[in-house]
Amino acid sequence: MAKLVIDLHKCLNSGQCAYLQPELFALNDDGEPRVVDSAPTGDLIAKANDAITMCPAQAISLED
Amino acid sequence: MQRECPFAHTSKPFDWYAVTREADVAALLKDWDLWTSFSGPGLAHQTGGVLVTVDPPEHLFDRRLINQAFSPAQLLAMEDDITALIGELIDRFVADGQGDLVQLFTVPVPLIVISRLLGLDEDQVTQMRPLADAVIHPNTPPGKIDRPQEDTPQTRYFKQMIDQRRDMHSKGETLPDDVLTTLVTAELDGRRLNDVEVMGFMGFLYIAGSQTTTQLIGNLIYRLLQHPEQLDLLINDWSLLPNAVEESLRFDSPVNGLFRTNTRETEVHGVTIPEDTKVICMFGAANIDPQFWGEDAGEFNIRRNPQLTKRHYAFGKGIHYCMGAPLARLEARVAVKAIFERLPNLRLTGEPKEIAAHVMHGVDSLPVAWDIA
Ligand code: HEM
Ligand code: SF4
Repeated sequence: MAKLVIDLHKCLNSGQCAYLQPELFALNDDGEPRVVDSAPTGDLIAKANDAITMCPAQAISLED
Repeated sequence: MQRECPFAHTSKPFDWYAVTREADVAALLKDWDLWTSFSGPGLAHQTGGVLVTVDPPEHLFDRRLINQAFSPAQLLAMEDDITALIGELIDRFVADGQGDLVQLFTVPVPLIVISRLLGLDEDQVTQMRPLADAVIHPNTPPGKIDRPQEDTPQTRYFKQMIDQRRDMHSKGETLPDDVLTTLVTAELDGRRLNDVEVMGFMGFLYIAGSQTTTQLIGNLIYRLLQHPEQLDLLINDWSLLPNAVEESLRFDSPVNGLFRTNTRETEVHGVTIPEDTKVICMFGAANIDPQFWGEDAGEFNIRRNPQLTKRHYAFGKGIHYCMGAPLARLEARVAVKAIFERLPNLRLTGEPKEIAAHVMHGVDSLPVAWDIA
């Protein structure tokens, strides 16, 4: 199953992922994003792809 | 500034406040339900418009729509185009040996790029530039500008371009691959944009992307000329270029700050703020807050830890995070590298002028000379 990951080294802390797809991402108190559902299925795959294309740092991916 | 006065009050032309500490700017930008954008990011209460004057959930529609033509991947794919355009621009003045880099270079670069991206004619866009400047000029009456409904040279030009595309579209002709085509043809959630909306997006992208990027490029060139030891570091190791761009954004935030408006009474630093009050988030001040960045916050240092530098507020943060950020960063990288490679021994020949508009921070002139081969 595909695994949803954020490359925190590339991440620019925009906060967009948590805004776009709160089911998949959340922000810690210091503004650092984290994945809340790392194995999305069904509808959530399209939602993950929405965040992937919109992340300004291109830091999010679905890995096999 | 932050230490004595983290929360400043002004009563002209009406009551408004400013937050300057990193922690407060972060808190306000995060709480978009309380601190909204519905009356605009400027001091004047302004409703209507796109993106920056819209709150969720409509705001998500705007971002996803624009993303169809403006995704980070699409923007970064413009690197070769941008490199060529910037190279041609430098060809025009490289033999002069001296001049004002603001007029010659930092003003035209974003206009050339945005014309290409939006599908507009460069000369037309350059002529409209005073309009874009007026939006941020302190003497411009609020609400006078950027109204797609109004009959101005800009709206007439946009309308003509839109009509042309719609006409081509209805005849089944192949449309150019640019933002205008996307806006005219895009469909999202079963909805299409009308002409006024297309003009709103075009006008906004053009304004959001020109002055700001001009300031970034000018600020970075200026700081490097001011700090020759940092320029040497960079010229000897261009892998530092992304750090240099981020440090410039942090140290010289092109946008000083933008406003939010509260939907209910609240308290900030013990002060009661009535509903519907304008509070400005000072990005530039937050970017040099020693409580967050450390004691060397006020130094320009391209070797600062990039994992820290990237946390600056120059592009805002959270839901309205700048959609042009990947493009602005790319333009700055290409522009600054090209300028130092093509203009040997580049040096200041006078003091730059600071830009007059209050919301912007940057140079309005950059008198320089360089060696001619
Ligand atoms: C160095 C250059 C730039 C700076 C400093 C900058 C700064 C900003 C800031 C601070 C915001 C946040 C607005 C808010 O929170 O209310 C913003 C939003 C935005 N910027 Fe930029 N910008 C730059 C370049 C660009 C470019 C080149 C474009 C596109 C051509 C662009 C398009 C946008 C858009 C579409 C938004 C609205 C996002 C939203 O409201 O959701 N910007 N920019
Ligand atoms: S959208 Fe991308 S850059 Fe922004 S917080 Fe999420 S991972 Fe980081």
